[in-house]
Parts: sequence; C-alpha cells; structure tokens
Amino acid sequence: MTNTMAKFDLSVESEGLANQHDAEVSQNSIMTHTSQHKAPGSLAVWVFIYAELTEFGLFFVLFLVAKAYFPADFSQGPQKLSTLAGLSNTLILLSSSLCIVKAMAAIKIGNIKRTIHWLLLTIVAGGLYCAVKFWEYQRNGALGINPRDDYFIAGYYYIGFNHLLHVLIGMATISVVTIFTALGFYDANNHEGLESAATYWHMIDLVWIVIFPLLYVLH
Amino acid sequence: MANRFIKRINLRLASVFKGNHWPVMVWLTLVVLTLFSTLLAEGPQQKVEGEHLAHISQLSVLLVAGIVLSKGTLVIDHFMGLKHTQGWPVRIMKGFLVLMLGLITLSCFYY
Repeated sequence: MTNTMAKFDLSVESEGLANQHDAEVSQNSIMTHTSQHKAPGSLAVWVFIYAELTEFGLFFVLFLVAKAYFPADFSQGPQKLSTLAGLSNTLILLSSSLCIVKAMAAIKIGNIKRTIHWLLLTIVAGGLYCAVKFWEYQRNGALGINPRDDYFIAGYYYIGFNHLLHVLIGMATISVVTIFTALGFYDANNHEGLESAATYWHMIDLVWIVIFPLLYVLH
Repeated sequence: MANRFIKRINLRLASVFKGNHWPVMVWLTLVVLTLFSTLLAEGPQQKVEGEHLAHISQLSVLLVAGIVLSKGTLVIDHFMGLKHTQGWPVRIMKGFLVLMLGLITLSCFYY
C-alpha cells in the first residue's frame, strides 16, 4: 500500500514536472513564434509606410500610363538626365541605410554614443542626397531642361520632388530621434520610436531603388 | 611570409563572416548590383545598332529588373529586418516591389 502510494506520488510529481516542462517549451515556442512575426517599429509607422507606398505606386502607374500615350517623349527622356546624379544618390541612400542599421545595432546593445554617431551620419547622407539633387536641377536648368518640356520631364520632376520631400521628412524625423536618444529617451530595451524612424528611412531607400531604373536607367 | 599573409586574410574574412559585419556585406552587394545594373543599361546601346539592339535592350531590361528585385529584397529582408517575419508586413512590401517592377518591365516591352 505504501509502495503504491509512493509510486502514485512519484508519478504525479513526474507528471507535474512534465507538464511544467511542456508549459515552458510551449511558452518558449510562443515567444519565438511571436518574435518571428513581429515587424520592427510601431503599427502606426507601418500604416504610414503603406499609405506612402500607395502614393508612390499611383505615381508610377500614372507615369507608365503617360508613357503609353506619349512613347516618343519617354524613349528619349532618360538620355537627357544625368545618370551620374541618379547613381550617386542611389549609393548615398544605400550608405545611409547602412548607417541607420548600424545605429539600430548600437542602441540594441545600449551604446548611446555610437547610436548618435551613426544617426548623425545618416542625416549627413540625407544632406548629401539633397546637395546632389540641387546640383542635378541646376544642371538641368543650365541645359535648358524644363518641367514643361514634355511628359517624361514633367513626371521626372514630379516624382523627384516628391521623393526629395520624403527624404526631408525622414531627415527631420531622424533629427528628432537623435535628440531623443541624446536626452536618454531610448535605451537597449525601449527604442520603438527609433526603430520606426529607421523603418521609414528604409522605405525611402526602397522607393528610390524603384525610381532609379524607372527614370535614369531603362531607356 | 606568404603563408602568414594568407592565414591573416583567412582569419580576417572568418571574423567578417562570423561577426556582426553582415550589414556591410549586404551594403557591398547592393553597391555592386547598382553599379552592374547601371553599366548594363549604359553599355550595349552605344556599340550595337539595328535589330540586335532591340534584343540586347530587352535582355538588359530583364536583367535590370532582376537586379532591382534582388536589391529590393535585400533591403526588405536585411535592412528593414523583415526576413524572419511572416504575414502582411513582408507580403505587402514584397508585393509592392514585384507589382511595380512587373509593370515597369511590361511597359518597356510594349511601349
């Protein structure tokens, strides 16, 4: 009888341990599962990003519709533009994306000084992008390329100015999160605002990756 | 001397791939792809004329589209950090990329 009771106790204990183990495994798998599904940044920034992508998507579709109606304007269009300016801006934006990835890696280990350093480099890269755009528009003006020339040039200026505006918004956002980081608002555990700004900046880079071949490369 | 030099390079490369240097490797890949796509679009048109030009242009359009798709995927997966996520965020981002590139490629073939 005592033996039976002891066996029963052991079996209950082992069952309890097994259940506890199962629960831990289950919790771990849920945590892994959740971390695999969670996108970086807040939900609000993702809604904003999808709105921006829709806007750019509509511009691209309108650009292609204009191309269908006025093929002559579009076949010679990219040759009027400076490929060097487009290429430089692509390389600058790719480098700025690397800088912000480095900033995110630094904040995740709690290195505030290094985070600020990489964020400032991102802002400098954004400034360089604006400088190249300014030079490009000056060059166009000197060559007599006007937004009213044809539909390709009109589309080029419309998409280009819109992207430039988004770069300026991104630079302003990154400047704000840089100040917040310096003031100690973000650390290794709490940096969702910074992550959201970084995600927005990557979206700007992604849109330019589509703009570059559309305007400068594909003749 | 040469062996020591090769060993040092091997150790350096091993540290690059094992350490937290993946963003730099992704960035380098993106830069090389950008330069290649620009050269591809600028190069053949200056040397070839006639019917061959049309074929080379179509081929280069497809190659440029493929390169841009690869670049976009690298940015979405590694820079935006969506590689290990599933569901709507990554689907919408990649869907946007594929849709836009598909439309641009089609427009190059038909107009």
